[in-house]
Amino acid sequence: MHLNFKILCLIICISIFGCKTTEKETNRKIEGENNFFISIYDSDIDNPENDRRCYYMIYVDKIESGRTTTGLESQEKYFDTQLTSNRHLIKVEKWVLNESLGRYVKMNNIDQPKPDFIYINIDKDRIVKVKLKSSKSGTSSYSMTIE
Amino acid sequence: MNGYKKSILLIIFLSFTMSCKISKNSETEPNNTFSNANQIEINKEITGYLESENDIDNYYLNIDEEQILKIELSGIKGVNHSINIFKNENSKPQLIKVIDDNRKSSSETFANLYVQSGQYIFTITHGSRDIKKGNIETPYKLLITSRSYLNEEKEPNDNPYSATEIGDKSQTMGYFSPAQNSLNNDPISRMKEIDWYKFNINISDNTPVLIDLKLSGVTGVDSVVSVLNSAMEEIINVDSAGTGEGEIITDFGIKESGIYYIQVSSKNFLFNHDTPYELQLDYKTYNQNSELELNNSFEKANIISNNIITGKINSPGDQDFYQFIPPFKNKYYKAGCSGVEGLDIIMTVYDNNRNKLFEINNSGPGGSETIPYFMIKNSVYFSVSASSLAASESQYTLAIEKFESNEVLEIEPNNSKNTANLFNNSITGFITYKNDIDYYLIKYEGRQKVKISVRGVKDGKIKISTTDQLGFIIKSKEIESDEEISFNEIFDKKGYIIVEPIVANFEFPYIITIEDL
Repeated sequence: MHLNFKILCLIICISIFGCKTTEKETNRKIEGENNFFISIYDSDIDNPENDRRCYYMIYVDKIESGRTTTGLESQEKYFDTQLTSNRHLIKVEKWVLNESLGRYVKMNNIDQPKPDFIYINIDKDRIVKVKLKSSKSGTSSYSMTIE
Repeated sequence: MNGYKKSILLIIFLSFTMSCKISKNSETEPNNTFSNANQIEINKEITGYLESENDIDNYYLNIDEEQILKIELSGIKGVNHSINIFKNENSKPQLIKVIDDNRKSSSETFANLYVQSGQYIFTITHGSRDIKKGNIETPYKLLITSRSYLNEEKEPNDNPYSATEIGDKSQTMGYFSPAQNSLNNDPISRMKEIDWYKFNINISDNTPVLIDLKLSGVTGVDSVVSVLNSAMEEIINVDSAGTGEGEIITDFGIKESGIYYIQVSSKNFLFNHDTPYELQLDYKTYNQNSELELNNSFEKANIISNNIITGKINSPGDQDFYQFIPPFKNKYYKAGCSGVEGLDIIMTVYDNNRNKLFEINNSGPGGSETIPYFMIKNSVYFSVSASSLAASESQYTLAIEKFESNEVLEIEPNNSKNTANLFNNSITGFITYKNDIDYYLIKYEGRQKVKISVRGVKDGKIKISTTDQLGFIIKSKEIESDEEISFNEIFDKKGYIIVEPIVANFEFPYIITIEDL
């Protein structure tokens, strides 16, 4: 038992040192435990020429919270964050790449997903995952799972 | 009695006839050959006619000592005439100069023929350009005047073999006269009147000699000066000044002993028979802190030995190359190039492989160009040129000094994604030159939300942008002067920060820090 305890301590020490070494590297690790996840993609892109690079700006309770990963419209783009237990308004805003400008530009309101928001309830020790499926016609559908 | 009277009348007639000849001082035909040439004298004008298209008038002049002659021939209406000058050596006249401006009705002048004891023949004939024709109504007037020879070119000095010898600290007078040289058949400089000079350089201890050459300006003449080596290769050509202005060569380096030649000429056959030019030549020993021309290429770059060098832009196209071998490699250095008033310097830096790193032309005429700091990994090359020259000598000083800093500094060049500096917590950067763009690469293992804080450039304005993995801009912020801003961003494993100047200030840095959230 005493030997087992020593081995356990050694493993813990190695793990801690190992983690520290990783922190010193240029590439850093993501920290935090998030309880809200959203993924967005366009479901009916069937022509590569129309499959633009884009991302979605995410507003939580009307405050800019961050953005999704960048990717093609047909690809799932992710965003996650930690929210307090409460009811929250999640709004998305689509930005697409203008290659001639070399930058992303916000899509006109008329071309934004409709609806571009969803209300979610965050409960303690629960994770909310939202999937937003958008279409060429501009309509969007939300599905939500709670774990 | 009758016989006595006749004798007196004959004497009077002969005396009258002879006195008439002297006072008229005109040619006596036939004088179409050297053997029946008329004798002329200095300071005595003689008149004559080119009576027909075949008429040739020869005059000979006996010279008893070294001197300079000025030859003036008035114009003949409708006739293009010329003067051929021969030196009679061993009864064989040698053509030494042709004076012909190739124009009808105009006079011919030669300001300074150098003569020594002997006989010279002046042949008045038709010019080569126009149809030959006589004129029995308008006479020409030939006048030869003389002065002592003193420190001046020895015309004809129209080729390297007849070049006038000059030396250190010499001041030599010459003329842009005559307008053309018909004997010049060189395909490059055909008909051009070129004054040739030569000087001898002795190099000791392998220390180069610097020469200063100064040609004064002459009214109405746009001059050109060239220096050639003994192989007749042009090693420098100066034509920076305009009409009426002089030309200067300063601190031109000569590394090999030998005879060197100077060519002085005018552009567009411009001439001035009345005002001489002055050619001044000076030698001095090379100083390691001075430019050594020719240094117009990487191969001929001067080594910067003591972190400082002085040089001069000799002409608008002059480009001076220097090589700097840093005493400490992979260190930051600061470089500055300051010039005289009116000189608009362009300082360009190349890496050891002669790739252009950056070109600095931030200031206007008279301003200095500075690179606040840059990393020198190995030796680098500097080139100094100018977009405008100073009114007088366009001198400059190039100085390099080690730059000490405890901060993490940007490493130029980082103008593109490919040359982006890897960002690690914090960076201090400069707008190094106009339109300088700085790229920084951000890398994480995964997706990372960060807080970016930026302090702007004092007295300037910058734009900072964040990009996606491919370098496409996601967000941009403008920062006035040295205000501090911060904003959040998310990087998906990789992204870039781009800094661009809106209002450039090259003196003060910007500082960017990134904090993980």
